[in-house]
Amino acid sequence: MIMRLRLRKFALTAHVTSSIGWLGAVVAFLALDITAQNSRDVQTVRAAYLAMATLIWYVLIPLAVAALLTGIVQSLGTTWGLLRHYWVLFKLVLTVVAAILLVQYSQTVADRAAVAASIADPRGLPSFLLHSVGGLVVLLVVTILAVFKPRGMTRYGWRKRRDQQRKDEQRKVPVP
Amino acid sequence: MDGEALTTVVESLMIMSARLRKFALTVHVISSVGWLGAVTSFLLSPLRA
Repeated sequence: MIMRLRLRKFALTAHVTSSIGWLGAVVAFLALDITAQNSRDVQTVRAAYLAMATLIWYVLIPLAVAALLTGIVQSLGTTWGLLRHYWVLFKLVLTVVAAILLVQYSQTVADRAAVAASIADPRGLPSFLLHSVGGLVVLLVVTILAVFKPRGMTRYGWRKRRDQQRKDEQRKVPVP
Repeated sequence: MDGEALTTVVESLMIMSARLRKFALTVHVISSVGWLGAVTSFLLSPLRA
């Protein structure tokens, strides 16, 4: 099920945009978190928590889902495959884990934003630093894997390659 | 050495090694497309405010 060149390029563009856009949005989230922890102004802290809740629902989760789906399409529609190379497999696992943790954590962020909106002084509310820095590191590793594509095929990948080579040999027409 | 040959030599000296090129590409993609993600965040952050 290999995609045509144009479709492949379109899928690649969508995947790069969503996955690294997700990384950029995590940096924006981190900046808001640092602002919420360090600002002395009550309104700024409140606004930062509300903006973080908006970011997680309207930017981070949609980009994470888009990155995961476009990544699966991209790998299944090219010769790389989804389970043939270790780097693709690690990328998939890291993306799935990061997306699940993000969705799970979204309720905590929403709850904290609600508290920040309702109390008189939201300064001193706990930080999201551990999760946002962790997410950033995971997404950086995923990006590095995608660019460097380290060698190493899975057992399934070797089996598929052997099957393909056998088929290619059978197709060869003997030259008279 | 004529001008054309000199240009070829200079160009070949300026080509980055494969590892350096991949590193530069990683940094460039992260900064440029990450910027796009940050702009999206900026654009959508007033949604629930």
